[in-house]
Amino acid sequence: MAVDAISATELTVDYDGVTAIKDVDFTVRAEKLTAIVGPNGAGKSTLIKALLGLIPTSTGIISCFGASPKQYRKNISYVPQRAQIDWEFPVNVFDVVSMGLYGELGLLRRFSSAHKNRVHSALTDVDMADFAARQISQLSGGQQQRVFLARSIVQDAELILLDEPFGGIDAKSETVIVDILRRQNQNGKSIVAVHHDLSTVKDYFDDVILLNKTVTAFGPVNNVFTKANIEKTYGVSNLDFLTGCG
Amino acid sequence: MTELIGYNTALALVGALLFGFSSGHVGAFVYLRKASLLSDSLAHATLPGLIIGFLVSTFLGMEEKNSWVLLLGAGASALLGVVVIQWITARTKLGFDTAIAAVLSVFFGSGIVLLTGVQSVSVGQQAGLEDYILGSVSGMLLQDVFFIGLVSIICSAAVVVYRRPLTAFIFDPVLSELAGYAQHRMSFLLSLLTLVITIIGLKIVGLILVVAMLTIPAATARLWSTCVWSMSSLSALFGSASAGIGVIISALLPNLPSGAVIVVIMFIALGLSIVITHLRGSNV
Amino acid sequence: MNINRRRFVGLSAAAIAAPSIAVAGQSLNIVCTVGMLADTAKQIAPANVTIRALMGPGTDPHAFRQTRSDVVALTKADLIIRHGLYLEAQMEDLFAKLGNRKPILSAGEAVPNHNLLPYDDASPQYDPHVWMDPTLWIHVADAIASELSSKLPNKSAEISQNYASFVETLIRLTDYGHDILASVPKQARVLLTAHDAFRYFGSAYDFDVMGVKGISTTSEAGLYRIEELVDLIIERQIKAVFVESSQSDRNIRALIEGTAARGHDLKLGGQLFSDAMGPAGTYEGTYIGMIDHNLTTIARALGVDAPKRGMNDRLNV
Repeated sequence: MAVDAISATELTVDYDGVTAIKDVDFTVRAEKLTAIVGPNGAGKSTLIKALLGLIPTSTGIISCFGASPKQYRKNISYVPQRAQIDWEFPVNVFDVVSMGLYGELGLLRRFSSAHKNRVHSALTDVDMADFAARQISQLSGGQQQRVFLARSIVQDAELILLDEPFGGIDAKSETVIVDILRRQNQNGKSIVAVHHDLSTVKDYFDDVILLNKTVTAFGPVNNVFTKANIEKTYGVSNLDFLTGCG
Repeated sequence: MTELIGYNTALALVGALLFGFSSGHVGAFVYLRKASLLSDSLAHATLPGLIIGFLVSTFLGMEEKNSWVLLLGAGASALLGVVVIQWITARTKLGFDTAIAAVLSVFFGSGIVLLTGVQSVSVGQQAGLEDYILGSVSGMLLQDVFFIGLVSIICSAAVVVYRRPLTAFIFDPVLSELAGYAQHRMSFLLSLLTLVITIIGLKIVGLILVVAMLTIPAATARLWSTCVWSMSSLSALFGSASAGIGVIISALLPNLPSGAVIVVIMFIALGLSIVITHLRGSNV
Repeated sequence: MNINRRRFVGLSAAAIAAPSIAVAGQSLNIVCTVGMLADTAKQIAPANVTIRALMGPGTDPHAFRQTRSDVVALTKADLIIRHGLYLEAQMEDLFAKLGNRKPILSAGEAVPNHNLLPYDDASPQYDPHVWMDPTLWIHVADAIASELSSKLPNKSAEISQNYASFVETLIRLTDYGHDILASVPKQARVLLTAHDAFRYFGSAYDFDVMGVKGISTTSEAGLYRIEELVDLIIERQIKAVFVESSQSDRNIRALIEGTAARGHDLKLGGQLFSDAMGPAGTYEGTYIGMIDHNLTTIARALGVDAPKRGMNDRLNV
């Protein structure tokens, strides 16, 4: 049995005087696709930031593949929410993907043809190779998301964290991206995504973490993604139509 | 004139070219980070430190009004400005822009009060302080050019060496952090470079116009480029060329303050660029 | 004792009630703008007159910005003596307002127009630096003496005596200047300073004068001007330049470097007092001392063996 991709124990994060998440316990199984779901204000962003080692935790321990996030950070790649990116930044598709190699390249190592090939290969994996010279401001939502995925791919990180990867994207693009994620998963990557669409959780993901300031449940979707758990997390009732289970 | 370019003009030219280059270089990243207002605030925050430096050097009995002490004072008070801005943003409900505006007005205002107070101190040569407010390319000495040149080269080198983390930090701070370049360190690096450029710019264009050196060439370069490397290189070139042309013009025509001419040249370049790129069709 | 106490009460009452009316014949509170006026007034006035200057040694009157306490001092004065001729350019509005309720003597304007030099070709104003020529300063002293006599009529004999003695010194000073500068040959009679404050010196002693900055100090000299002066220095083989106590020495140092690059050894001839006198309490901190210092320094820099300690043997060297 592989070491867990992420293991969090008694995690509490206080942020701006408010307790954002409290006593969070979960494990993310390696080489699986895991969704993090919860209502607005549940602390999902805070959890991601804590997992990435960007904010300090008040209590609790996080480990990634057995090491602390700070030790492991070069092996985590992050796909941010599209709203957080400055799309007017002067950068083209190729350059964005290249940034995935900056951790390896350091300050002064030359960007060689081997590196170029890796970037092209990643772009091909997401079917964006023809767009390499395009400015990112000229891309559609789905294309933008694929570019950032390519960045993660080129980094060859074992753990990919995505923040709302399907936000504001058309259905066709969504299918394409799901395919890419599945392929990456088949290559041995662990995928964790903050996901907002409850109706697709079972289709897309192997495991789920239900979060509302604390973890109501986590584990394989078939076991854990139940009407009762969902209602408990979201604090409402009558969500039959979402789960598809009685 | 018996020679093509006199010694004093040559000195001023070298200093201006080097400074224009590095301020354009650094300015590109300041622009992309959307921190141009910060550079204006830091420039104005130098005033109280300048005056205190002046008082210190006078009371320590330094014969010539010692440039280094003044610049040190200017740097110290601008650095204090940075710290205060960080503190206000982190610890109070006021936002970044409010903090910048507050520091700009309070520091500069205190400086003006000190300036008026200083003139009643019975020592001489307060008029030299105006050199820093308005810039004085004409009075450039060899030691000034060495200092400006050296610092400019270091700043440009820093920008080149750190171009990847700076680009990553501005575009996607999380990526930068994960790649091993902590956000607060990159932010500090950029602030520090801005600070240094501001300080040495005091002698060339003066504190009121320094922000122009960090902003206009960058804005001009943005119109012509689609990647950070070319933008920052173009910005350095525009900055350098404008500074050089400004110095030459002010040497050829009487009664022209060099600092102001440099900024006018920069504006002309920006205006032309806007027109040309607009006519060419939308850039990016 | 009684008389003194009465005088004190009378003074206080007058000071509180009607500051602009001097207690007849008793004392006077005079506020001057520049030090040269204050010192001249001190030489002429009788005892019991308090005199102060707003601008101290090393202060540039062209750029002087009055503070609130300066304004308060002016409003409490019995008599204000300013130079006029736009020397105190920033204070024009203030004096216009004050002139309605306070006696203001524009002492510099006592110099007859035909003795005044124009500011430049374009403007109708005059160059205000009249104190550089002691013979012109006699007019200023005269105006101050008259004003003092009218305010303190029962001291007018003493005032006249002081005035006469002061004028005698001014004449001696003028002659001293002519004596020591007589041996300087025509082509060497050039004075180059930080700003153009010495034109009256130039016309009194037959010198060409040049300032790096113009008559007013408030603008940058400009590269063109520096280059122009470097050419001139080389062409006329000027040996010495002078810094000023109230100006930054940077431009002068730029000239020295620029001429050195062309193989010309330009020396720093010394520091002159241009718009302000020397440190308070010293001989150079008086009008006579200031001019004595300037004349002596210029002569010695040009190679004349003038007395090191000046006309009165009192210069600090």
